[in-house]
Amino acid sequence: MRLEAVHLDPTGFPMIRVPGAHVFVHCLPVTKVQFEHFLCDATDGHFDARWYDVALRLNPRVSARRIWRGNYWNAFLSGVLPAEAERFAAWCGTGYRLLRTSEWERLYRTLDMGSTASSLAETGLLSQLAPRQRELITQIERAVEDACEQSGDPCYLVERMLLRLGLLEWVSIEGSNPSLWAGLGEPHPAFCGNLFVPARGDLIQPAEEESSRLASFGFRLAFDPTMVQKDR
Amino acid sequence: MWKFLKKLFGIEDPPPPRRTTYHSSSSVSTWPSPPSPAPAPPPPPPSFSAPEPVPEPEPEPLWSSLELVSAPQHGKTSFLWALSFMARKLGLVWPEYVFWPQDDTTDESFRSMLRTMDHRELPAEATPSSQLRLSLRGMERWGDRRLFVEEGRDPVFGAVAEDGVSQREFNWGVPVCWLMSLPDLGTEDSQFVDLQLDNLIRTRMRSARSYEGEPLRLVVALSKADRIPNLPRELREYLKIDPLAAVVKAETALSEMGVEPDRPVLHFDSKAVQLYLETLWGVHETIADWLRTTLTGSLLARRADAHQISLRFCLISATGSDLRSNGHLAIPWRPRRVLDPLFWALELGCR
Repeated sequence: MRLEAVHLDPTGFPMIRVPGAHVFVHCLPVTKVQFEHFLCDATDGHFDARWYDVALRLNPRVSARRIWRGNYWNAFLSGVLPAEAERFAAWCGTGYRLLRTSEWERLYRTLDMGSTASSLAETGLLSQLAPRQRELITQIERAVEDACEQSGDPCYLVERMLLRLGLLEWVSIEGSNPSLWAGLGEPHPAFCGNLFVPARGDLIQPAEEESSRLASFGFRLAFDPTMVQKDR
Repeated sequence: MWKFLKKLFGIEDPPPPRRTTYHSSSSVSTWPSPPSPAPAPPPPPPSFSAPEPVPEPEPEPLWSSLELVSAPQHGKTSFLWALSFMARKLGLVWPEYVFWPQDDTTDESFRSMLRTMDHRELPAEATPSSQLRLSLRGMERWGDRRLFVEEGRDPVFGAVAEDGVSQREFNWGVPVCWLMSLPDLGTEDSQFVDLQLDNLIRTRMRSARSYEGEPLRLVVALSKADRIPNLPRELREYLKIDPLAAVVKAETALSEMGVEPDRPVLHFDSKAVQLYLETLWGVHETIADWLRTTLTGSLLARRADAHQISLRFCLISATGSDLRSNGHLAIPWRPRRVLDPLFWALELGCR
């Protein structure tokens, strides 16, 4: 499987086009490296050093060279609230937003059933990246491969892109659900014990989702290019 | 004390050889409504490769009981809560099933536990000793039992009195469930589990019962299985896809829509129970095979063989996830496969 359409977000991390949809989606959940670009720019006082300390207490930082199968989730930003993820999306620019449940599930199904790529490099995703981004993604992918090997899991694109064995990802709920946000995903059991089944639409709706920080909750963004055209 | 307990629990004539005193214990016990006949001879070992016809239910239920041992922090209280919760829900799958607390104290304890679970709370680290006495009537295959849940001292891993002798009396004549949380072993020492089994066997041998006459029947329940990182995929899938948990979830969804199910959502009839037990046997074998690939598991199996222990493995997750916020679960309790140790006890207890 070679991904023809790749888009880079403002921090230089890749997004792929979801087959059958017009939006691009981050290839991995948002990393701390990406969010730190935003933190440097944020000036309203909410995202100060204290805020980041709280996030790091929930899920510590790790440098790319120290990533392995027992800590690769430390590379991602988690413990973030949905509204804060939206702030990051707004900072990224017009057309960026959190995924909707249907988009996340479509991506999962596509990668789970249709992908035969044996590595992210094979998809062509990494060729356009700067060295720092490429190194981080490559190290994470190696760690995920090891984790899959340890548990006897297959390592397809759905695992390599961490829709499985990654984080719970904030998504906006469509339809008549009274909540605005829910989590989709299946974190690695060593990061957060769980028996979630995202393939069956297992929406995780924590109590007080607007205010309680959970270590295993992160996010990835969608980018809708048609919104940019409308903006112009 | 026994007379008092008999009066308290409404037991009239338990079979003398199986008599036990549930005093300051930590146990999950089931026993039939009185009067009970003498135990039947042990059935042949199950052979699930070629399923046999379901045996006819015994005319009178057999004495059956399960004792529970666990090291601290291995999820014992959560398991007992989840087990009680799911035992209550069995009416959703068994049309003849009736469940009720046996006295006012139990009724209040049970309601309190349900309220606590409903608020997504977790047991406190030092949970005060509590008791639950429940009647379970009309279980397919096993008939009528009483489920006695008591939490207190543990004779193997728990507190020991100053004179070095455990305070509680323990019924070694019934299957023993050893709740073990692999993520909480807290050591890389491969011999640790083997030494714990040795400790358990020694405690058993110090009891008044003849070990040779009544070898240990041990159900090893791997607790907090949602947190085991290298759990084989098929076992993880087994936990995820729990038909009894799915029934509970369906009932909850119906209640939220204001619809009361007027009959069991899933009929857990004799064929379904037999199929469930076949799957349970397969899971036991898969866990045994998986554990044997490790030194820890090999040592455990070797010692169990040496002491002629009837060993059964199963795995459970009392909460279904470890998604916590401020000491509470962030999502509702989702117990998975917590009835499996009880099912094993009912099967092994028929011997």
